[in-house]
Amino acid sequence: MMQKGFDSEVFDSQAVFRNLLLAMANPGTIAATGINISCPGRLAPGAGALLLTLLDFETVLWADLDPDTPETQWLHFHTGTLLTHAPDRAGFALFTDGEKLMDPGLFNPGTVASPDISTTLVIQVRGMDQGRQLRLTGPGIEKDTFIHLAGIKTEFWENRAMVNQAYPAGIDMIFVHARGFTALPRTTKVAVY
Amino acid sequence: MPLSYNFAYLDEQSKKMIRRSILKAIAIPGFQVPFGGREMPLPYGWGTGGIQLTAAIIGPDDRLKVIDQGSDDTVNAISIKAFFKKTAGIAITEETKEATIIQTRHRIPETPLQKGQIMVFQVPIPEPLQFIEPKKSQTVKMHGFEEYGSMHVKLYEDIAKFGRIATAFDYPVQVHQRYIMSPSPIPKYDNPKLHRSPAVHLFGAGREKRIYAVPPYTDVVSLDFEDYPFELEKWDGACAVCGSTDSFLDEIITDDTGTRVFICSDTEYCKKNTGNPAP
Repeated sequence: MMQKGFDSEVFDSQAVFRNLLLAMANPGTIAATGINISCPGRLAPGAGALLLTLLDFETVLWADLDPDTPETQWLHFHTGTLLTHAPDRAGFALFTDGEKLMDPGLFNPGTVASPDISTTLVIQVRGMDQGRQLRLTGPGIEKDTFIHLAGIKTEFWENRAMVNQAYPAGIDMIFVHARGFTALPRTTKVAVY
Repeated sequence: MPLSYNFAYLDEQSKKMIRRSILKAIAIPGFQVPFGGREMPLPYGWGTGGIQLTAAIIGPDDRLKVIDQGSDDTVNAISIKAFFKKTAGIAITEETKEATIIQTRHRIPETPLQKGQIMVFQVPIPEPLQFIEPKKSQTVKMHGFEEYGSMHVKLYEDIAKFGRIATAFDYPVQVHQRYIMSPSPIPKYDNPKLHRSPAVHLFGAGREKRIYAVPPYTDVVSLDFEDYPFELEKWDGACAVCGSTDSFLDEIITDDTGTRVFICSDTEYCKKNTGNPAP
């Protein structure tokens, strides 16, 4: 039987989105979804809540999962989102395992005239208290801020910097652990320590 | 709250679509994100863009403040507050400090904004290049390739004609060293309040179907020249009601012999100064 989604589609999605809005506006802040939800399989409650909030029949989702897994079936059932195998055609991309991240350059960074048609990555990590220290600067950050994301390789940050060099084109990312998440829009500069 | 409306009027799919556009707008400061603007139950020009933004972000715990040219009590502000009271049962406040969302028509409050607060601007004309290049297909390219020379020519023409930059409101700004943006028709007096503000600033244009944003702590620089730097307007007098000399003043004609006084445009700020804080 299909597992249920939000308790309240109206108020849960509003609460999650509001926290996401402030997280995207204040990169590196560790936010919480602010709601209770249980998600199938490898889908973290944070990632499930964010995707139910953002996806609908107008979106195209790529996931590091087969199309008929409980996770993708659940997302499709509750939102109507389309699924794709082609990363460069996706509006959203889900990585249930942050240790197997791909080069963000494989996704769609948009164009200089339409940088808004880019892919947003939702990446599940195994923790936000271990791993290399990352120093973040850019819009939304008063001076600088530091975060840790377990299991993300230095090479990934180099690839991300390459993609975002084409600013305003670029890839926005949301890193999730359990119920918590932090957002890194394309404008955020990451220095690895 | 009548049950015939969804919470905050818009249906959930419309909210999702607007929410996705808001995230992109925040990620690309100053870029105008096209969105599927919906028909609202009031005409364009009455804040349909701002209302759609507010409807997409507002929740039951929010405290909403709405101002129209700085005033909490003018017709646009009153009717938008009534709209959200009716469709969302939202708590209304006039206190800038208490508000979680401030929807505004053409002013930024004098009281400094705080982290976590969200400003929602109603925007009539989102495209700052429209008066130079009326074709949208062209202005999109100009923004894409940062072709902004003609904007400075427009300001220069002002100097050639009037000896100064005569633009007093909707004064163009450059955001995050990249996009030239219309700050909406706020007086240029309010432009510096956008620069590295701790609050989130969202801009909604309903007729033109565009959303754009300035995230917190983002550089917002008013365009100018080395020898003609950006200047704020000054007044000779003080507010006739509260005596303030550090707020934006409106000129009011008080009789048929041309007697005039200046009073604060921000009614909440003025009431506070006189010792009668807003309810």
